[in-house]
Amino acid sequence: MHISEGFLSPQVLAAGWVAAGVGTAIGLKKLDPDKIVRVAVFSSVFFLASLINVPIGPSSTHLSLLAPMGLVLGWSVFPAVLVALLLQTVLLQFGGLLVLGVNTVNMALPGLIVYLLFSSRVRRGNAASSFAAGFLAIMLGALGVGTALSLSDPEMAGAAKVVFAAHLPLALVEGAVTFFMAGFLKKAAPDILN
Amino acid sequence: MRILRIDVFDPRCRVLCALLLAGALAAARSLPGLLTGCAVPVVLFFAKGSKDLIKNLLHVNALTIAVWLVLPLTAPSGWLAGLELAFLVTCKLNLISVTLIRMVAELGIEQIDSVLIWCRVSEKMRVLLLLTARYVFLLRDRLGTMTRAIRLRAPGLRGKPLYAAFACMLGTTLIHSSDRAERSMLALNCRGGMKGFSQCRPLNWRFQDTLLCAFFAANAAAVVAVSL
Repeated sequence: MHISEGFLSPQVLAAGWVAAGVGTAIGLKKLDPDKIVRVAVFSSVFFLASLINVPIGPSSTHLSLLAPMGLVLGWSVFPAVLVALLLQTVLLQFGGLLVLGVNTVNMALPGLIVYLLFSSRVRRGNAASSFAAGFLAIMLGALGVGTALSLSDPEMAGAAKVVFAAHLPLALVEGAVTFFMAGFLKKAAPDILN
Repeated sequence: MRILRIDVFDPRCRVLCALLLAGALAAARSLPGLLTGCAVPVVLFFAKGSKDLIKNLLHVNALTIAVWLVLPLTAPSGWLAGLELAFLVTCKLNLISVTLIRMVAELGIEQIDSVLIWCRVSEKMRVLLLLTARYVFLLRDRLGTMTRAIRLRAPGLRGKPLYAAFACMLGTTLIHSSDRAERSMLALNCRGGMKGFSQCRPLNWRFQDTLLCAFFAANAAAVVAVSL
Protein backbone atom coordinates (compact mmCIF):
# COMPACT_ATOMS: atom_id res chain seq x y z
CA MET A 1 0.00 0.00 0.00
CA HIS A 2 2.94 2.32 0.62
CA ILE A 3 4.40 4.03 -2.40
CA SER A 4 8.15 4.44 -1.99
CA GLU A 5 10.26 7.44 -2.91
CA GLY A 6 11.23 7.89 -6.56
CA PHE A 7 8.02 6.65 -8.19
CA LEU A 8 5.90 9.79 -8.26
CA SER A 9 6.20 13.04 -10.18
CA PRO A 10 6.50 16.36 -8.29
CA GLN A 11 2.99 17.36 -9.44
CA VAL A 12 1.43 14.23 -7.93
CA LEU A 13 3.51 14.64 -4.76
CA ALA A 14 2.33 18.25 -4.41
CA ALA A 15 -1.32 17.30 -5.03
CA GLY A 16 -1.00 14.56 -2.40
CA TRP A 17 0.35 17.02 0.17
CA VAL A 18 -2.46 19.50 -0.53
CA ALA A 19 -5.16 16.82 -0.20
CA ALA A 20 -3.55 15.36 2.93
CA GLY A 21 -3.23 18.87 4.40
CA VAL A 22 -6.91 19.64 3.82
CA GLY A 23 -8.03 16.27 5.24
CA THR A 24 -5.75 16.60 8.26
CA ALA A 25 -6.87 20.19 8.95
CA ILE A 26 -10.54 19.11 8.92
CA GLY A 27 -9.72 16.05 11.03
CA LEU A 28 -7.87 18.16 13.62
CA LYS A 29 -10.65 20.74 13.72
CA LYS A 30 -13.22 18.03 14.42
CA LEU A 31 -10.96 16.33 16.99
CA ASP A 32 -12.07 17.01 20.56
CA PRO A 33 -8.92 17.82 22.65
CA ASP A 34 -10.13 15.32 25.28
CA LYS A 35 -10.00 12.57 22.65
CA ILE A 36 -6.39 13.17 21.52
CA VAL A 37 -4.96 10.49 23.81
CA ARG A 38 -7.57 8.00 22.60
CA VAL A 39 -6.75 8.76 18.95
CA ALA A 40 -3.02 8.47 19.69
CA VAL A 41 -3.43 5.12 21.42
CA PHE A 42 -5.65 3.74 18.64
CA SER A 43 -3.25 5.10 16.04
CA SER A 44 -0.35 3.27 17.70
CA VAL A 45 -2.38 0.04 17.90
CA PHE A 46 -3.10 0.24 14.17
CA PHE A 47 0.55 1.13 13.49
CA LEU A 48 1.69 -1.98 15.38
CA ALA A 49 -1.04 -4.23 13.98
CA SER A 50 0.08 -3.35 10.48
CA LEU A 51 3.45 -4.96 11.29
CA ILE A 52 1.92 -8.37 12.04
CA ASN A 53 2.28 -10.88 9.23
CA VAL A 54 -0.82 -12.92 8.49
CA PRO A 55 -0.59 -16.11 6.35
CA ILE A 56 -2.47 -15.84 3.07
CA GLY A 57 -2.30 -18.94 0.87
CA PRO A 58 1.33 -20.04 0.42
CA SER A 59 2.56 -16.52 1.20
CA SER A 60 1.94 -13.97 3.94
CA THR A 61 0.98 -10.31 4.09
CA HIS A 62 0.68 -7.59 6.67
CA LEU A 63 -2.69 -6.13 7.57
CA SER A 64 -3.54 -2.52 6.74
CA LEU A 65 -6.68 -2.21 8.89
CA LEU A 66 -7.90 0.82 6.93
CA ALA A 67 -11.59 0.04 7.51
CA PRO A 68 -11.41 -0.62 11.29
CA MET A 69 -9.31 2.53 11.61
CA GLY A 70 -11.89 4.59 9.67
CA LEU A 71 -14.84 3.06 11.53
CA VAL A 72 -13.30 3.71 14.96
CA LEU A 73 -11.69 7.11 14.32
CA GLY A 74 -14.04 8.80 11.81
CA TRP A 75 -12.63 12.12 10.57
CA SER A 76 -9.65 11.74 12.94
CA VAL A 77 -8.38 9.04 10.61
CA PHE A 78 -6.49 11.68 8.55
CA PRO A 79 -4.25 13.04 11.37
CA ALA A 80 -3.93 9.52 12.82
CA VAL A 81 -2.75 8.04 9.50
CA LEU A 82 -0.41 10.99 8.84
CA VAL A 83 1.22 10.54 12.25
CA ALA A 84 1.40 6.74 11.94
CA LEU A 85 3.01 6.98 8.48
CA LEU A 86 5.45 9.65 9.67
CA LEU A 87 6.50 7.34 12.50
CA GLN A 88 6.80 4.39 10.10
CA THR A 89 9.04 6.54 7.89
CA VAL A 90 11.20 7.79 10.75
CA LEU A 91 11.41 4.57 12.78
CA LEU A 92 11.24 1.87 10.10
CA GLN A 93 11.94 3.66 6.80
CA PHE A 94 8.68 2.35 5.27
CA GLY A 95 7.31 4.71 2.60
CA GLY A 96 9.08 8.07 2.65
CA LEU A 97 8.79 11.73 3.57
CA LEU A 98 8.13 13.16 0.10
CA VAL A 99 5.42 10.57 -0.58
CA LEU A 100 3.89 10.98 2.88
CA GLY A 101 1.08 13.19 1.53
CA VAL A 102 0.05 10.76 -1.22
CA ASN A 103 0.34 7.75 1.11
CA THR A 104 -1.78 9.53 3.73
CA VAL A 105 -4.52 10.22 1.18
CA ASN A 106 -4.36 6.65 -0.17
CA MET A 107 -4.85 5.20 3.31
CA ALA A 108 -6.96 7.77 5.15
CA LEU A 109 -9.46 8.61 2.40
CA PRO A 110 -10.69 4.98 2.04
CA GLY A 111 -11.01 4.82 5.83
CA LEU A 112 -13.07 8.00 5.82
CA ILE A 113 -15.23 6.81 2.89
CA VAL A 114 -16.09 3.50 4.61
CA TYR A 115 -16.82 5.44 7.81
CA LEU A 116 -19.28 7.68 5.97
CA LEU A 117 -20.85 4.75 4.07
CA PHE A 118 -20.95 1.94 6.61
CA SER A 119 -20.47 3.21 10.20
CA SER A 120 -24.17 3.32 11.11
CA ARG A 121 -24.82 -0.14 9.61
CA VAL A 122 -21.73 -1.64 11.30
CA ARG A 123 -22.89 -0.17 14.65
CA ARG A 124 -26.25 -1.90 14.16
CA GLY A 125 -24.34 -5.18 13.73
CA ASN A 126 -24.77 -5.66 9.99
CA ALA A 127 -22.13 -8.33 9.24
CA ALA A 128 -22.19 -7.89 5.45
CA SER A 129 -21.45 -4.17 5.85
CA SER A 130 -18.41 -4.95 8.02
CA PHE A 131 -17.00 -7.28 5.38
CA ALA A 132 -17.84 -4.82 2.59
CA ALA A 133 -16.14 -1.99 4.51
CA GLY A 134 -12.90 -3.98 4.91
CA PHE A 135 -12.92 -5.12 1.29
CA LEU A 136 -13.81 -1.72 -0.17
CA ALA A 137 -11.24 0.18 1.89
CA ILE A 138 -8.38 -1.91 0.51
CA MET A 139 -9.60 -1.74 -3.07
CA LEU A 140 -10.03 2.06 -2.80
CA GLY A 141 -6.52 2.30 -1.39
CA ALA A 142 -5.19 0.19 -4.27
CA LEU A 143 -7.10 2.39 -6.70
CA GLY A 144 -5.42 5.44 -5.16
CA VAL A 145 -1.98 3.84 -5.49
CA GLY A 146 -2.68 2.88 -9.12
CA THR A 147 -3.99 6.35 -9.96
CA ALA A 148 -0.97 8.07 -8.42
CA LEU A 149 1.41 5.81 -10.37
CA SER A 150 -0.47 6.25 -13.68
CA LEU A 151 -0.61 10.03 -13.29
CA SER A 152 3.11 10.20 -12.53
CA ASP A 153 4.24 8.36 -15.64
CA PRO A 154 2.13 6.83 -18.45
CA GLU A 155 4.71 4.01 -18.62
CA MET A 156 3.52 2.91 -15.16
CA ALA A 157 -0.12 2.47 -16.24
CA GLY A 158 0.32 -1.28 -16.80
CA ALA A 159 2.12 -1.70 -13.49
CA ALA A 160 -0.70 0.24 -11.79
CA LYS A 161 -3.22 -2.36 -13.04
CA VAL A 162 -1.00 -5.15 -11.67
CA VAL A 163 -0.80 -3.36 -8.31
CA PHE A 164 -4.59 -3.02 -8.21
CA ALA A 165 -5.15 -6.72 -9.02
CA ALA A 166 -2.49 -7.81 -6.51
CA HIS A 167 -4.47 -6.19 -3.68
CA LEU A 168 -7.52 -8.44 -4.25
CA PRO A 169 -6.42 -11.28 -1.88
CA LEU A 170 -5.50 -8.73 0.80
CA ALA A 171 -8.92 -7.10 0.38
CA LEU A 172 -10.62 -10.44 1.07
CA VAL A 173 -8.49 -11.02 4.18
CA GLU A 174 -9.12 -7.48 5.40
CA GLY A 175 -12.84 -7.95 4.79
CA ALA A 176 -12.78 -11.09 6.96
CA VAL A 177 -10.70 -9.45 9.73
CA THR A 178 -12.98 -6.35 9.73
CA PHE A 179 -16.05 -8.62 9.87
CA PHE A 180 -14.73 -10.52 12.94
CA MET A 181 -13.33 -7.39 14.60
CA ALA A 182 -16.57 -5.41 14.24
CA GLY A 183 -18.52 -8.39 15.62
CA PHE A 184 -16.15 -8.65 18.60
CA LEU A 185 -16.26 -4.92 19.35
CA LYS A 186 -20.07 -4.82 18.99
CA LYS A 187 -20.32 -7.49 21.71
CA ALA A 188 -17.43 -6.47 23.98
CA ALA A 189 -17.23 -2.66 23.73
CA PRO A 190 -19.89 -1.11 21.47
CA ASP A 191 -18.92 2.41 22.63
CA ILE A 192 -15.62 2.15 20.67
CA LEU A 193 -17.61 1.97 17.42
CA ASN A 194 -19.59 5.05 18.43
CA MET B 1 34.59 5.51 9.98
CA ARG B 2 33.08 8.93 10.66
CA ILE B 3 34.30 11.43 8.07
CA LEU B 4 31.65 14.14 8.43
CA ARG B 5 29.57 15.26 11.43
CA ILE B 6 26.01 15.95 10.23
CA ASP B 7 24.86 16.29 13.84
CA VAL B 8 26.49 19.73 14.19
CA PHE B 9 23.90 21.29 11.87
CA ASP B 10 20.62 22.76 13.09
CA PRO B 11 17.65 20.33 12.69
CA ARG B 12 15.73 22.97 10.68
CA CYS B 13 18.66 23.28 8.30
CA ARG B 14 18.87 19.50 7.91
CA VAL B 15 15.17 19.14 7.13
CA LEU B 16 15.20 22.08 4.71
CA CYS B 17 18.30 20.82 2.87
CA ALA B 18 16.98 17.27 2.68
CA LEU B 19 13.62 18.35 1.27
CA LEU B 20 15.29 20.63 -1.29
CA LEU B 21 17.59 17.94 -2.66
CA ALA B 22 15.05 15.11 -2.38
CA GLY B 23 12.47 17.23 -4.23
CA ALA B 24 14.97 17.97 -7.02
CA LEU B 25 15.92 14.28 -7.28
CA ALA B 26 12.22 13.32 -7.43
CA ALA B 27 11.74 15.79 -10.29
CA ALA B 28 14.72 14.42 -12.28
CA ARG B 29 13.55 12.58 -15.42
CA SER B 30 16.94 11.53 -16.75
CA LEU B 31 20.12 9.78 -15.64
CA PRO B 32 22.38 12.87 -16.12
CA GLY B 33 20.13 14.80 -13.73
CA LEU B 34 20.43 12.07 -11.12
CA LEU B 35 24.20 11.86 -11.62
CA THR B 36 24.43 15.61 -10.93
CA GLY B 37 22.69 15.12 -7.62
CA CYS B 38 24.27 11.86 -6.50
CA ALA B 39 27.43 13.33 -4.91
CA VAL B 40 25.70 14.50 -1.72
CA PRO B 41 23.85 11.21 -1.04
CA VAL B 42 27.12 9.30 -1.61
CA VAL B 43 28.93 11.53 0.91
CA LEU B 44 26.00 11.15 3.33
CA PHE B 45 26.13 7.38 2.91
CA PHE B 46 29.72 7.29 4.18
CA ALA B 47 29.24 10.11 6.71
CA LYS B 48 28.47 7.74 9.59
CA GLY B 49 28.57 4.02 10.21
CA SER B 50 26.73 2.48 7.25
CA LYS B 51 25.62 -0.85 8.79
CA ASP B 52 22.12 0.24 9.81
CA LEU B 53 21.69 2.30 6.67
CA ILE B 54 22.57 -0.68 4.46
CA LYS B 55 20.02 -2.78 6.36
CA ASN B 56 17.38 -0.09 5.77
CA LEU B 57 18.30 0.21 2.11
CA LEU B 58 18.06 -3.57 1.63
CA HIS B 59 14.57 -3.37 3.10
CA VAL B 60 13.64 -0.43 0.84
CA ASN B 61 15.08 -2.21 -2.21
CA ALA B 62 13.09 -5.41 -1.64
CA LEU B 63 10.29 -3.67 -3.53
CA THR B 64 12.50 -2.91 -6.50
CA ILE B 65 12.68 -6.63 -7.41
CA ALA B 66 8.96 -6.44 -8.25
CA VAL B 67 9.54 -3.16 -10.11
CA TRP B 68 12.25 -4.75 -12.30
CA LEU B 69 9.94 -7.67 -13.06
CA VAL B 70 6.70 -5.78 -13.67
CA LEU B 71 7.77 -2.58 -15.46
CA PRO B 72 9.50 -4.23 -18.48
CA LEU B 73 6.48 -6.49 -18.98
CA THR B 74 3.85 -3.77 -18.69
CA ALA B 75 5.40 -0.57 -20.12
CA PRO B 76 3.34 0.57 -23.16
CA SER B 77 6.50 1.68 -25.05
CA GLY B 78 8.15 -1.73 -24.81
CA TRP B 79 10.40 -3.68 -22.50
CA LEU B 80 13.45 -1.45 -23.04
CA ALA B 81 11.56 1.65 -21.90
CA GLY B 82 10.33 -0.37 -18.92
CA LEU B 83 13.88 -1.38 -18.02
CA GLU B 84 15.07 2.23 -18.32
CA LEU B 85 12.25 3.40 -16.07
CA ALA B 86 12.96 0.63 -13.52
CA PHE B 87 16.64 1.69 -13.43
CA LEU B 88 15.71 5.37 -13.03
CA VAL B 89 13.22 4.60 -10.25
CA THR B 90 15.75 2.39 -8.41
CA CYS B 91 18.40 5.12 -8.56
CA LYS B 92 15.93 7.78 -7.37
CA LEU B 93 14.65 5.53 -4.59
CA ASN B 94 18.14 4.92 -3.21
CA LEU B 95 19.43 8.49 -3.55
CA ILE B 96 16.32 10.04 -1.98
CA SER B 97 16.20 7.40 0.77
CA VAL B 98 19.85 7.95 1.76
CA THR B 99 19.33 11.73 1.83
CA LEU B 100 16.15 11.59 3.91
CA ILE B 101 17.30 8.86 6.30
CA ARG B 102 20.61 10.59 7.05
CA MET B 103 19.28 14.16 7.21
CA VAL B 104 15.78 13.72 8.69
CA ALA B 105 15.02 10.24 10.03
CA GLU B 106 18.21 10.17 12.11
CA LEU B 107 17.14 13.40 13.86
CA GLY B 108 14.76 11.44 16.08
CA ILE B 109 11.19 12.27 17.09
CA GLU B 110 12.07 14.95 19.67
CA GLN B 111 14.09 17.05 17.22
CA ILE B 112 11.49 16.56 14.49
CA ASP B 113 8.96 17.90 17.01
CA SER B 114 11.16 20.99 17.50
CA VAL B 115 11.18 21.53 13.74
CA LEU B 116 7.39 21.15 13.65
CA ILE B 117 7.06 23.81 16.37
CA TRP B 118 9.22 26.12 14.27
CA CYS B 119 6.98 25.37 11.25
CA ARG B 120 3.97 26.39 13.41
CA VAL B 121 2.29 23.00 13.06
CA SER B 122 -0.83 22.85 15.25
CA GLU B 123 -0.30 21.77 18.87
CA LYS B 124 -2.94 19.04 18.51
CA MET B 125 -0.91 17.48 15.71
CA ARG B 126 2.36 17.61 17.66
CA VAL B 127 0.80 16.18 20.80
CA LEU B 128 -0.73 13.43 18.68
CA LEU B 129 2.70 12.65 17.20
CA LEU B 130 4.45 12.52 20.58
CA LEU B 131 1.72 10.46 22.22
CA THR B 132 1.52 8.03 19.29
CA ALA B 133 5.31 7.55 19.35
CA ARG B 134 5.15 6.92 23.10
CA TYR B 135 2.30 4.40 22.85
CA VAL B 136 3.93 2.57 19.93
CA PHE B 137 6.80 1.62 22.25
CA LEU B 138 4.46 0.91 25.18
CA LEU B 139 2.05 -1.31 23.25
CA ARG B 140 4.64 -3.06 21.07
CA ASP B 141 5.45 -5.68 23.70
CA ARG B 142 1.80 -6.33 24.52
CA LEU B 143 0.83 -6.93 20.89
CA GLY B 144 3.97 -9.05 20.34
CA THR B 145 3.08 -11.24 23.34
CA MET B 146 -0.47 -11.74 22.08
CA THR B 147 0.70 -12.63 18.57
CA ARG B 148 3.17 -15.16 20.04
CA ALA B 149 0.35 -16.61 22.15
CA ILE B 150 -1.83 -17.18 19.08
CA ARG B 151 1.04 -18.86 17.22
CA LEU B 152 1.97 -21.04 20.22
CA ARG B 153 -1.56 -22.14 21.01
CA ALA B 154 -2.55 -22.88 17.44
CA PRO B 155 0.49 -23.07 15.12
CA GLY B 156 -1.48 -24.82 12.39
CA LEU B 157 -4.33 -22.31 12.34
CA ARG B 158 -5.27 -21.24 8.79
CA GLY B 159 -8.05 -19.36 7.01
CA LYS B 160 -11.21 -18.20 8.78
CA PRO B 161 -10.31 -19.30 12.37
CA LEU B 162 -6.92 -17.58 12.06
CA TYR B 163 -8.45 -14.30 10.87
CA ALA B 164 -11.04 -14.52 13.67
CA ALA B 165 -8.23 -15.03 16.21
CA PHE B 166 -6.28 -12.02 14.89
CA ALA B 167 -9.44 -9.87 14.81
CA CYS B 168 -10.29 -10.76 18.44
CA MET B 169 -6.71 -10.09 19.50
CA LEU B 170 -6.80 -6.65 17.87
CA GLY B 171 -10.24 -5.96 19.33
CA THR B 172 -8.99 -6.89 22.82
CA THR B 173 -5.97 -4.61 22.40
CA LEU B 174 -8.25 -1.76 21.30
CA ILE B 175 -10.48 -2.18 24.36
CA HIS B 176 -7.51 -2.25 26.75
CA SER B 177 -6.03 0.74 24.92
CA SER B 178 -9.29 2.65 25.22
CA ASP B 179 -9.27 2.16 29.01
CA ARG B 180 -5.63 3.17 29.16
CA ALA B 181 -6.32 6.30 27.06
CA GLU B 182 -9.05 7.41 29.47
CA ARG B 183 -6.74 6.97 32.48
CA SER B 184 -3.89 8.79 30.67
CA MET B 185 -6.20 11.69 29.75
CA LEU B 186 -7.33 11.95 33.36
CA ALA B 187 -3.70 12.01 34.51
CA LEU B 188 -2.82 14.65 31.92
CA ASN B 189 -5.76 16.83 32.98
CA CYS B 190 -4.66 16.53 36.63
CA ARG B 191 -1.23 17.85 35.59
CA GLY B 192 -2.68 20.87 33.81
CA GLY B 193 -3.92 19.48 30.50
CA MET B 194 -2.34 19.55 27.06
CA LYS B 195 -1.14 23.16 27.19
CA GLY B 196 2.63 23.06 27.10
CA PHE B 197 2.69 19.27 26.69
CA SER B 198 5.34 19.65 24.02
CA GLN B 199 8.17 22.05 24.91
CA CYS B 200 10.40 23.50 22.22
CA ARG B 201 14.06 22.48 22.48
CA PRO B 202 16.50 25.36 21.94
CA LEU B 203 17.51 25.61 18.29
CA ASN B 204 20.54 27.48 17.11
CA TRP B 205 20.87 28.55 13.47
CA ARG B 206 24.47 29.43 12.66
CA PHE B 207 26.42 30.63 9.64
CA GLN B 208 27.43 27.06 8.76
CA ASP B 209 23.72 26.20 8.46
CA THR B 210 23.19 29.01 5.98
CA LEU B 211 26.19 27.78 4.00
CA LEU B 212 24.86 24.21 3.95
CA CYS B 213 21.43 25.43 2.78
CA ALA B 214 23.06 27.47 -0.01
CA PHE B 215 25.10 24.44 -1.09
CA PHE B 216 22.07 22.14 -1.16
CA ALA B 217 20.00 24.78 -2.99
CA ALA B 218 22.74 25.10 -5.65
CA ASN B 219 22.94 21.33 -5.95
CA ALA B 220 19.15 21.03 -6.29
CA ALA B 221 19.09 23.80 -8.90
CA ALA B 222 21.82 21.99 -10.88
CA VAL B 223 19.81 18.74 -10.80
CA VAL B 224 16.69 20.51 -12.09
CA ALA B 225 18.66 22.45 -14.74
CA VAL B 226 20.32 19.30 -16.10
CA SER B 227 17.03 17.39 -16.05
CA LEU B 228 15.13 19.99 -18.07
